[in-house]
Amino acid sequence: LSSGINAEYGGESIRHILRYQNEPWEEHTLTISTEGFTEWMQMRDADDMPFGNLPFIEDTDTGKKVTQSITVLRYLGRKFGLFPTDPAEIVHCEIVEQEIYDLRNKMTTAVYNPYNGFGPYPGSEIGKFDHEFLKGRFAQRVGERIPKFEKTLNKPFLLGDKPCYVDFLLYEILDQLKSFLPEKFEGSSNVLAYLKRFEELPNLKDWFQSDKYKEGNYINAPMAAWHGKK
Amino acid sequence: VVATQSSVSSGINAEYGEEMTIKLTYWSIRGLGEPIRHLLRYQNEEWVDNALPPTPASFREYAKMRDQEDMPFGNLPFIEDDGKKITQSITIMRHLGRKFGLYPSDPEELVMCEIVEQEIFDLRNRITAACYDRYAARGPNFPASEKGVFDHEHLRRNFLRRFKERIPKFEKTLTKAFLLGDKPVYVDFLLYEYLDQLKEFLPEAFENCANVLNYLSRFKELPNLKEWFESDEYKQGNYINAPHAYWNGKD
Repeated sequence: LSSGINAEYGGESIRHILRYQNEPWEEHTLTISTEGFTEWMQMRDADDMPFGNLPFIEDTDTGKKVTQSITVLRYLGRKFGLFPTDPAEIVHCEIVEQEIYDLRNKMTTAVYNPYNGFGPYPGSEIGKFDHEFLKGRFAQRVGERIPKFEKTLNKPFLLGDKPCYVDFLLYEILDQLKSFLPEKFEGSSNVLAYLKRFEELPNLKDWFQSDKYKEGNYINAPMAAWHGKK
Repeated sequence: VVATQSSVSSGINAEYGEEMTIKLTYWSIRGLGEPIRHLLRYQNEEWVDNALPPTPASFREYAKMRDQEDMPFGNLPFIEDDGKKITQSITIMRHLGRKFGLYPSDPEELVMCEIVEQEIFDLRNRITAACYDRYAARGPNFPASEKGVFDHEHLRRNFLRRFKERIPKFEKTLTKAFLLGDKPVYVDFLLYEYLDQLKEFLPEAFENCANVLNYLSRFKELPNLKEWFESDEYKQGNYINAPHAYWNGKD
C-alpha cells in the first residue's frame, strides 16, 4: 500500500501506474497558497526527506519516501513487475525515458515565465518572456521527435504486448503534447493508436471513462502561459 | 589506460578493433559529456573520445549522424558500444555503470542512487536554463525573438537561491568516501562533474560545505582519474557550456 503525495501536475504518470495496478493510494494535495507553501516547506525539510521535491511518494510498506517522478516510476515499476529484465530492452526503455524527461523539461521552459516575481522575491526588470516564440521552437523539436516515436510504437506498447513503467510516462507526455501542439500529431497513426490502446488497459479504462477524467485537469500550474485546462 | 582520439571527418571507416572499443561522440566541451569521459578514464579499457569542436562544420557532421537509421532519437552525447548506439547522457551512464560493475545491486542503495542521479541532473539542466539565451538567433533559418529578452542575472539569482537550499542536503548525504560507501558508483561520476560545474557557476553556495569540498578532492585522487586531473590538458581548462553561451565557464 502506498500513500501518494502529489501536488505537481507531473504526478499523473504516477497515478496511472497505481490505477493500473489497482493499488490503493492516498492522495495529499497541496494547494497553491500560503498555507500550502508552509506545509510543503515543513515536509521538504524533514529529516527523512531525501532532497525534498514534488511529487514524492511514501511507500507505507517500507516507510520510505521517494522523490523525483522518474525515480518514483522506476521504483514502482520494479515493485509491480513492470521493469524490463532483458539488457537490450532496458537500454531502449531508458533512452525513451530520458527523451520524455527532455521533452517535459523543454515544455516547462516554453510555458513558465522565469521573470515573474515569486512571493517576496522580485521579478526581473529587463527580462521578457515570449511564449509564442518558445512554443514555436519547441514545436520544431517535437516535429522532429514524433516520427521517431511513430517508428518505435509499431507494437502494442513500448517493449511488446504488455506495458512497462515507461509506457505510463510515455502516454502522459504524448497526450500532453497532443493538447499543446495538436497539429504535430496529424497523420501519426501509430502514436494515436498507442494513446487509444493505453486508455483501454484494464483498470485504466475505468479512469478514462470516469466523470472526473472527463472534467479535465491542469497539465501545467494555473499560472503557466499554457496550462492545458479547458 | 586510455586511448584518446579526435575524429576529423565523417569519412573515416571503423578501423580494425575500433568496433570493439567504446566510442563517445560529443562536443569538445564539458557539458553533458564529461561525466561519461570521467567514467571511461577510470576504467582500464581503451576508448575513443570523438570530441567535436563546436563549429558550424562539425554541426553539419553531427546533423548527418543524427539522421541515420540506427540512431535512436538523435542527440549528443551518444556512445557506440558493441555496434549499438546509445543516446541520452543518463542512459549512457547507467549502461556503462552496469557494464563496469559501478551499479548498485541493493534495492535501497539503488533508490538513493537514482534520487541523487535525478537531483544532480535537474541542477545541471538549470545551469543550462540560466546560461543560454533562448531568444537569440540560431542561424539563418532560426531568427531571434522580437519580444523576448534574456536576463541572465535574474536567472542566476533565482537559481542561486534555490541551490543554497539544496546544497545542505548534499552536505548531509556525502558523509562517506563516495555516495554509497568506499567505492564509487556511476552516479559519483555525475555528482563530481556537476557539483564541480556548479562550483564554477555559483561559488558562493559552496562556502562552509566541507563534506562536499572533500568529496570533490577525493574524487580527483581516484586511480586513473588522478592522472587526468594532473595532466596539462585538464589544467588548461575547458568550456563548461558552449562557447556562445552567456556564461560558458571559460571565457
